[in-house]
Amino acid sequence: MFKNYQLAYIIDDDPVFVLLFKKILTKLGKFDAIVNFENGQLALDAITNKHKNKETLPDIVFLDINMPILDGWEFLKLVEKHQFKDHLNIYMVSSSIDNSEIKKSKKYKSVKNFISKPISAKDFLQKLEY
Amino acid sequence: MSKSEINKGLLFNQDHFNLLIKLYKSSFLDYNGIEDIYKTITETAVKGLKIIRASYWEIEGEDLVCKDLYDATAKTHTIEKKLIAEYLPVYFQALKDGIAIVADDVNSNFYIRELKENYITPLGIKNMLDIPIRKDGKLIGVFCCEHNKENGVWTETDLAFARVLCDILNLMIEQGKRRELEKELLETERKISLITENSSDGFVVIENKKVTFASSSYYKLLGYSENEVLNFTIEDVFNNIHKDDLNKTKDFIYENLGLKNKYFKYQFRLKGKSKKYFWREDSACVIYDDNGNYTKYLIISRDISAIKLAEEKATKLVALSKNLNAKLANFTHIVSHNIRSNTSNISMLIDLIEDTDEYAEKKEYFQLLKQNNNKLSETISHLNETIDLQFTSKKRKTEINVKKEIASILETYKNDIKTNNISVEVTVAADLILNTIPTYFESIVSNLISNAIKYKSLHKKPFIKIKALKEKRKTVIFVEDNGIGIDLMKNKDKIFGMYKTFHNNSDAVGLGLFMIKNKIEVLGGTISLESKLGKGTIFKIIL
Repeated sequence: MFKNYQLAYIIDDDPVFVLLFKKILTKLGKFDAIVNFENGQLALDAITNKHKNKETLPDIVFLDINMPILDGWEFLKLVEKHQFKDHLNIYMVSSSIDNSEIKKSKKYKSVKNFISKPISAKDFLQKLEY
Repeated sequence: MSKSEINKGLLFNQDHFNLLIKLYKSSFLDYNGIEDIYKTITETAVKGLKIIRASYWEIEGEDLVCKDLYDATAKTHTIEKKLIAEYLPVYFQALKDGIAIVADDVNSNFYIRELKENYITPLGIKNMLDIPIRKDGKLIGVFCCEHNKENGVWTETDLAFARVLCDILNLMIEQGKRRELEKELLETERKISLITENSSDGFVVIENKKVTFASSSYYKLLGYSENEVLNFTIEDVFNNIHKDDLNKTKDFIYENLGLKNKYFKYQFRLKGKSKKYFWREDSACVIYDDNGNYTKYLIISRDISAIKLAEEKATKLVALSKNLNAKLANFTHIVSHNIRSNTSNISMLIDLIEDTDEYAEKKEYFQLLKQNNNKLSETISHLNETIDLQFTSKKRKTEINVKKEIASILETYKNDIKTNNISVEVTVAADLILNTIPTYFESIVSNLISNAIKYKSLHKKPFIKIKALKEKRKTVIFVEDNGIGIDLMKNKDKIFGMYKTFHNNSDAVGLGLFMIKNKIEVLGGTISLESKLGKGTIFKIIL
């Protein structure tokens, strides 16, 4: 059986995608709470705050690459500096099919997998447990 | 005065005199080579001394080799077998030590006894006079006079006459050798000048810090005459090197001279008389004296203007292809992210529509599908616009009045400026004219003004300052605001990228600066900016 997640973060600036992604995640029934952020900075601020206040951190993070203010790569770079880097299960979720970006994502220890858009409900959970 | 009177009291008689005068009056060039001189001298000796044979021998290695022997009886010139030093030690020693071997009677002379058996007796020689010939104190030959008179005696006159002939012969030989050398030298010079004058490379010799030789191939290219170049000092040469190359070249040369390097090469631009610069590659060969000072500085100077031109073209091509590559990468990126993000949304929507049976949900998805479809069309039309820009660069340029053009652009923002209480300051000369594509100029300035309005500060009275001026035949335009600014530390590489936005502003598309930069590049200009968060931004455009 697949694992259950308490708190999922979606970091993506495309509102349509976020809406659809949330629908899919909800239908899969394994995500208790889903919160989304328009860019990396907002997400990082939220996580840093939670960490400071000793609140529960998200146990899964879906991270887009192209975003204003703080994009996916910059977010990863900053996360690497924090103590909580090992507690975040980060999955890159991008429409990119650029191999160099997929390779680049493997350099970050905190990144568990690279998932290409579009997301389909069918084999999504497998991708999380690879 | 009669001839006999001139001769009174002298050793020589008239016949001697006539013979010697004839020789004295001749020069090397009157003879048909050195052999002819040998023959003349031997014949003169026979005539003057009234003897049967005269011969000239030269030292070759250790031995004496006969160069000519004149026989008065047969009236023939022949060559005798050579005399081997090893077998005739006494004779050779006598020649080396003495002024002459004077043998009135060949039988009683100690020094020539080794010659008796094989030479004197078979040839019927009775009297012998051998005079060594020296150069720089060293024996180089011997002049032999031989006679067959019983009880004959060599007189002072004979000795003197033979001596004079030897001296003349010696002089002639020297002259001959000098001629040979001169001829060789001339030939070498001819070959060198053939090379230096016809080569595309220039040849220069510098001695005592002055040009002492320059080939015509060198000074003609630079437009100088030979004399002008020959007066050049090293400083003159340095003064003609392009200022951007001077220090590098000078340092390199002095470094190599300091290291006593014999060969080195360097490239620089050298100014010709017409002030035009030529790219040259100098291959230097330096000769140093025992104290390590350079005495001769030889240069082969090659014109490499064509190579440099080709290099420049290649560099430009590389830059161009790099630029195109970057654009291509940017497009790939856009296709990858912006088009795919839309299509992936569409395919997710289709999946969701298929998966649900509820009409209300389906309807919601259809609505989103429509939205997404519009966005995709928009993205594609943006892409089209940018690609168009790359291919319509040949649009006609016309002259515009910058001040008037800016005023009319500001007119379209009149309402925004008024409602936001923005003060606008335009500093442009009334007669500033710019040759440009008017629609591009309008779109560039308009976009910058619109950005300045959009990203104005909410905490202070906003201003927009526009300044334009001519600078070195270029037009420089500044658009300054005191708005919220852009974090350049973070966004330096992305500022002018496609679909890049820097603020949480929902209506930002991230296309404005990208299009501005593209249009400016099409116009052959550049754009840069200074910005500080919370302070404002200054864009600088050079057209």
